[in-house]
Amino acid sequence: MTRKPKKSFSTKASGRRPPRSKSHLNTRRWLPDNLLSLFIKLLIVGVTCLLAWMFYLNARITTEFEGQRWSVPARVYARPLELYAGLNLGATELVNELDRLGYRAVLKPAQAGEYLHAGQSIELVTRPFQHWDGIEPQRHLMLDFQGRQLQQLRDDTGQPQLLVRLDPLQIGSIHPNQQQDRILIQLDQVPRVLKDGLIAVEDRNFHHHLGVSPTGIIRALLANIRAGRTVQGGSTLTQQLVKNYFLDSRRSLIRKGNEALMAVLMEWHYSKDEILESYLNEVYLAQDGARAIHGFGLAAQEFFGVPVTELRLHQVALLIGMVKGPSLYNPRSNPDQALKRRQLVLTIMADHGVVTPEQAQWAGRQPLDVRQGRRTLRYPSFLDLVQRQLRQNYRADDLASEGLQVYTSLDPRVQSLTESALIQGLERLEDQYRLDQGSLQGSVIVTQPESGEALAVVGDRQVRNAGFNRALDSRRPVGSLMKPVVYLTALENGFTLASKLDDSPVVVEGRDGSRWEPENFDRQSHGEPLLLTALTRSYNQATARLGMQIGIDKVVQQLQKLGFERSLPAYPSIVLGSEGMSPLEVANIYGTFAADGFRTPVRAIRAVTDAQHRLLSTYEFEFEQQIPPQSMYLLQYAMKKVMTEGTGRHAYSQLDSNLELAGKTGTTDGQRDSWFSGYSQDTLAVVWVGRDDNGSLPLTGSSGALRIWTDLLQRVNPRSYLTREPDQIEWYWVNSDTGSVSKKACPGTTRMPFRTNADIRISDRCDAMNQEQKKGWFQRWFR
Amino acid sequence: MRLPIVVVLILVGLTACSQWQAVPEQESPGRTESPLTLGLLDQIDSAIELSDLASADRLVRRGLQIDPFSPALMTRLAQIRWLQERPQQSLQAIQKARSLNPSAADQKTLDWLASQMTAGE
Repeated sequence: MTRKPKKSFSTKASGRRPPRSKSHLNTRRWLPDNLLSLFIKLLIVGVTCLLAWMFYLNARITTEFEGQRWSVPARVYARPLELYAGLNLGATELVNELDRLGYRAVLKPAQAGEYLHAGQSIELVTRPFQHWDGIEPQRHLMLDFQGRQLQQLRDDTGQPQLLVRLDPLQIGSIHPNQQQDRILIQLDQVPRVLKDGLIAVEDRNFHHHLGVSPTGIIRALLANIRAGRTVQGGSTLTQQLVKNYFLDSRRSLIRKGNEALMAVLMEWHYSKDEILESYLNEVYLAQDGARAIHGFGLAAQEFFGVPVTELRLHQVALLIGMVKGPSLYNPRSNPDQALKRRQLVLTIMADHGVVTPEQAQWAGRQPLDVRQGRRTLRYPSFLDLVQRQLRQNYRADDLASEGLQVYTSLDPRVQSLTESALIQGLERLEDQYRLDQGSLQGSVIVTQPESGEALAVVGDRQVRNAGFNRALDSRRPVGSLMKPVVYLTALENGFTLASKLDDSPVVVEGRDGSRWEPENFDRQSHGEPLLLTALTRSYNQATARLGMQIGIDKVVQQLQKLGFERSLPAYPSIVLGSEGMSPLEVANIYGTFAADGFRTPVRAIRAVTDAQHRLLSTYEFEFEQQIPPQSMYLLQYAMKKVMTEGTGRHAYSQLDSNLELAGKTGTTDGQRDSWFSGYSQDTLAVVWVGRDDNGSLPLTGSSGALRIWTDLLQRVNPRSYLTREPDQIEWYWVNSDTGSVSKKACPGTTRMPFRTNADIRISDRCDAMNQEQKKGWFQRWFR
Repeated sequence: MRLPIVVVLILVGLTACSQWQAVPEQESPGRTESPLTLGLLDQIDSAIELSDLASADRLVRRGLQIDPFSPALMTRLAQIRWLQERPQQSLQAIQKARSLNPSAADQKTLDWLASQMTAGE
């Protein structure tokens, strides 16, 4: 381009060469004119390019910065704790819950998130929270307890309150690996000291400049020259926002120029408040494994366990200090540097009148006050269940970016008790049986049987391990856990609890020539036990014969009615639990038992809302009556007997004997798996214990999994399992040897329920029963 | 000598009588609802009266999350599902409520709902 005028000159002057002296004069005149013209042309071209570039940058700002600015991962919440008079919860347990939620013990609660615990009373200021079904406002409450019960719930004017709920614990978020995480906050939620402090430290002319601050740049330049190195940046908050949001961190003039231009454009389009709010949400503050922590909202939760509204001065100063060097001033990895930086920030805040010198001194005396970092998920096994259920309705991309709010049924208290019961239980078993430490594995799932809501899931004894989830994915033979399914089928097909079964050796030959020859655990056969006895004592031979008598197909159909969703081939050994199932599948089946024959699939989610709290989906109570109440009642009776007289009786060595429970042990061939599944009125728990290499154990269901189950039930303080007697049930006395039935109590008889019109012969007299008994003994003798 | 024999005979007789007595009928009175549930029922009934079924639904679900064994709350759920023209869910809730030992008042409501469904068929 620069050559063009020369060419033009020579072309125009072509023809004759001008005289030398004249030429010299002309050249001297020509140079200023043409240089000016060139300059103007260059200027026009430059300005045009600049304008075009600015149009481009402007378009980037308006398109990329409008609407949803950030991908926000879905947040997953535990159930909120509902408080009401009569709730079975002690003061200490509530304090534990408050601590989990990051509430602060103070002498005089006044702000949200503060409480005072004094003996049997708690004064509490709750946090406001937008639940899926409505807003719970902030409340100042007085709670009085008696033992493990909340007696009174009043507000600070003394008015009794019917029902109040706390904000739920956030138990995780769903984000892709290597991604940014943040909790979006609005400017009006941000404490004044944080806004003013940030401006004082990072950009004291924020309210006066137009995106770039020449005085700031000069001041930084002078400071850097004096120090001989870079000690101060001249970037405004707007420039920092532009750099973080649109540009990379390369140090180049072009990048710096773009940053300045975009900062000016940003100020042109958006108000100072909008820019400040965006900055507070955008700024990078720390790294947690693969997750980058952005924004003050998430940083407040991450480092102090509180929402940004509850940050205190020393916490605010620490976070502001971290802006300059998230890694260098990280209070977990560099506490000394972080303390020094915090002190400097406090000094600047005091110098600029953001706080008084006294406040700054007080804050300077506070410890760093940072909570333990967690590089791992808090409840990975439960979150796994939540994600699987979410994926039935939501795309993975939406879960990772749309800021969905997921409200679950996790009970943090039960989850915590389940984790410790499993960890300690496995350690105890390893000690007791002199097994290598860490050789046993286990998993537990706990549900509320009436609603089917999952309360806790543990899929690994390393409870924070997000690897293989045994509670959902490990399919192991269930052994005798299958027996109640077989006996229920029998009870629906003409059998009674007093029916006599045949517990003698049995051999089944397969089409391929294989032989199935089940044995009892004690390697004995037990003659002709009552159906009730065969179930409570878990006799294999009697069950195998019974299953084949009623039909394996019917047993498989029953299994599916109860909630088992996969299809199964009908082969004989299925009746003794040779089929592998996961604890979740067992919980679905036993949930139907516990809910009186109503199928209530296990679910972990209550509702999902979008980022603006608009309801997207709710997960309703699902129940469908699958089993007639009379058959269920008979089975419940038998399963309670398992606990009082059968293989589950060890539970009462620890639990109150008045507590009514129902359940069943399970042990598999070669003692490779130890199972227990059982329930109270409000808690169903399935426990599996085994080895990952499928090795043999010195444990049965009773000596292994039941111990952990019992320990867990003792901790959760369950309610008795009360069964309501349905219509068409009659009670008779049964001779346990002969199975003969009487309306009257005779020696050696036990009272049992029967379905009305059951096919039984009822005696009126004891001598008739005794005759039956003698006959039975005589017949057996000469058989 | 006769007195102890008489006493022993009476005791034996009493023991025999106690063993030979008829099996007592088991009573199943309706469950007494907690103050919390009663308070929620008031709010649910008010919402139903105002035809605010969305609020009634939210309240009944919140109540059942706290106390899933309440036949009165389950009865209200059946009622709400019926009013929402979801008869299948209403029927399931009626069956569930019946299994939870309802009081006479609940039973009356359940019977009424069941009769409505039969009439609808």
